[in-house]
Amino acid sequence: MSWLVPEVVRRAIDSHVYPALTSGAGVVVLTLVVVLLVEAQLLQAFDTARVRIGRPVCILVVALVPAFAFVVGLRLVDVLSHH
Amino acid sequence: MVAVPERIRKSERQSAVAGPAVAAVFVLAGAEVLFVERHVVAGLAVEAALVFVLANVAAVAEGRLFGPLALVPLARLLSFTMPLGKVPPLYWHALIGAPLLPALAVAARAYGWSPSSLGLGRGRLFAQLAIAASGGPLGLAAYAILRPAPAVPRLDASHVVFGSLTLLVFAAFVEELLFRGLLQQAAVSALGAAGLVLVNVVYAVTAIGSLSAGYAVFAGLMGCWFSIAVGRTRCLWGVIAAHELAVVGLVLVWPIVLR
Repeated sequence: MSWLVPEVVRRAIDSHVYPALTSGAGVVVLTLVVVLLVEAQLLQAFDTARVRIGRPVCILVVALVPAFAFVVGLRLVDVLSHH
Repeated sequence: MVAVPERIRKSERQSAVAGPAVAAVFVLAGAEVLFVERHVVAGLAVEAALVFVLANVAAVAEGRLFGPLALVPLARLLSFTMPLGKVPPLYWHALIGAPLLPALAVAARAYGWSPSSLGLGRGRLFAQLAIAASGGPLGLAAYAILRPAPAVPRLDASHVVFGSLTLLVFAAFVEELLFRGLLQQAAVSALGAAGLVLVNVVYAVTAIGSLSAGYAVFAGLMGCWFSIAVGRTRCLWGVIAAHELAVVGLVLVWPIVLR
């Protein structure tokens, strides 16, 4: 019923490769954030007025950055609690 | 100079939006098939590329469709990125939906939608209650198709209250605000009635990950019913309540009551 947690996600969580999978997903998300921000900066620097990238980048980064920060924060807590 | 008739200009504008939108639906479907075939990282790379392309299309295209549309593959990226294994299944929706909520708010503000223009104003009470009531049978039908495992071991008050609240905010509200709010408004204003079909094809495509073709078709039909209800009443609250009833039935109630 919910598109956010489909069966393929549940199946991935039960899989033995899940920790590596979340790391891979984290790398994909981080790359996407960096590429979007660099592109926005480049377009602003070259003053390409016809390409209005600011709005869509803002929408996407607002979701991606807190998600990534949450994942990294949780991982840090994990690491620190084991030392 | 010969003036171009408005009808032809409108048709050209629709083609300029329809082409990239249909291509995006095919790429979304391809990524979902990759997840089904267990090529998860490849699927994530396709979704990330689609987010990037849609952001760029949104930057140059007319209309407001592509910015909110980029949130659909983005949500799937979040589904696999968030550490769901560390929390009980009932709260998975909150973990994925929480980053999406501010993105939806920013999208609505950036593209100039007010809450009432998105259907978040007051509607006619009896019409909204009638739409909401459809959620009960929809949840039962969804359970009959999917037969999911229970999300909680037993139905007690804390599970029902916290589970229902989580599903209300992060499943029903987030999904309906995105699909029947932002996307439907943008698609219908750009493509007319075809926009309504497009949004519900996207909704059905995102259900491919349920591993049930029957459920994907059911999701598309349910989305059409919600779209028509919102189109007629210009109010989202009834479909949000119907979605909540359906998803609470499917995730919390029916797997325990009918097992």
